[in-house]
Amino acid sequence: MEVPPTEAAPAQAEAALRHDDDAPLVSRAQSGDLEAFEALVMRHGRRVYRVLLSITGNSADAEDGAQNTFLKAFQHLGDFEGAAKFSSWLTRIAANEGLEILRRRKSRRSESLDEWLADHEETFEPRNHRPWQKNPEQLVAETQVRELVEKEIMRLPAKYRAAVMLRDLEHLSTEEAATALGLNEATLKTRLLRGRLMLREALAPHFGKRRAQEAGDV
Amino acid sequence: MYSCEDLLDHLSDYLDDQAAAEVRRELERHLGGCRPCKVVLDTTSATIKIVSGCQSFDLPADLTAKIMAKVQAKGR
Repeated sequence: MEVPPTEAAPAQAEAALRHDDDAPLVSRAQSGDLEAFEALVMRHGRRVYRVLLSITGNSADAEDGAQNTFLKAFQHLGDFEGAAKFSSWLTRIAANEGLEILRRRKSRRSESLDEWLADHEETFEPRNHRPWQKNPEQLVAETQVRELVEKEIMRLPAKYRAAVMLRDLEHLSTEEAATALGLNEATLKTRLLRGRLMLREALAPHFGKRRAQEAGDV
Repeated sequence: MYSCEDLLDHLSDYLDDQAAAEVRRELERHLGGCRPCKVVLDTTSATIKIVSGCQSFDLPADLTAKIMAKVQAKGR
C-alpha cells in the first residue's frame, strides 16, 4: 500500500511545519541524521505499535508492521513537506500497513479486510444494567484490571477495536481517527459506539455490583 | 421526549461533549427517569476512563532497536 499523498503547496507546508513539535527532528532526519530519526521512533513508536495492534489484533503482526511503517517513513521522508503533522502522516502510514496485513489474510475471515470493509453495522443492545462496584479511578489502580482490559479489547472485532483504541487510548480526535483509518466521521462514530458498548458489556460481569449491594442502593 | 434508542444514538457524542445543547437537554430529561439508561451511561463513561487510564499495550522492549536495525539495513 502506498504512503499517503497528503502533501500540499510549499507555503502551506512551511506554515504547518512551524506548528509541529516534531519539525526540528524531522528536518534533521531528512538530512540523514539517524539519531534524529531514532528520537522520532522513540517518540511515536508506541502509537504506531498500538495502531497496528488495534487493526491486526496480533502482537507479532503489530511488531512487523511497526518496523515496516518506520522503514517506509524513513524512505519517504524526503517527500514529507509538513502539510500534515508528522505524527498524523506516520499514523496514516501505520494504519495503511495494518490494513495491508488484513488484506493478506485470506483464510481468517473474522479478522480480514472483508470484515473491516463491511458497511453493515450490527445493532448492539446493552444487556447488563447493573451499576459497577467501584469508580474508574479505583479500578485503574488495580493491576489485574489492566490485563483484563487488554484481553477484552483484543477480543473486539478489528473495526471496533481500532476505533476504541485510536479514540480512547491514543486520544485522537474523531477527525484524526477517521482520517487515519480511511473512514468518514459518521462511520468512525458508529464503530466507536459499538466498540465502547461491547467493551462495557464484557467488563460488566467483572465490575458489576452484586444483587444484595444493588438493593442497598435503592 | 427521547427514547432509550435515542439515548444510544447520541451516547458517544454526549460522553465526548460533542452533543448539541438541545440534544443534551433532551438526553438528561430521559436519564432523569430511566435508571437502565443511566447505568449504561455511567458504566460506558467508566469504560472510557478505564481504557484511557490503564495505559495498556506498551511498546515491546526491543522494538525500537529492531526498527532502527531495519532502517539502517534497508533504509537507503
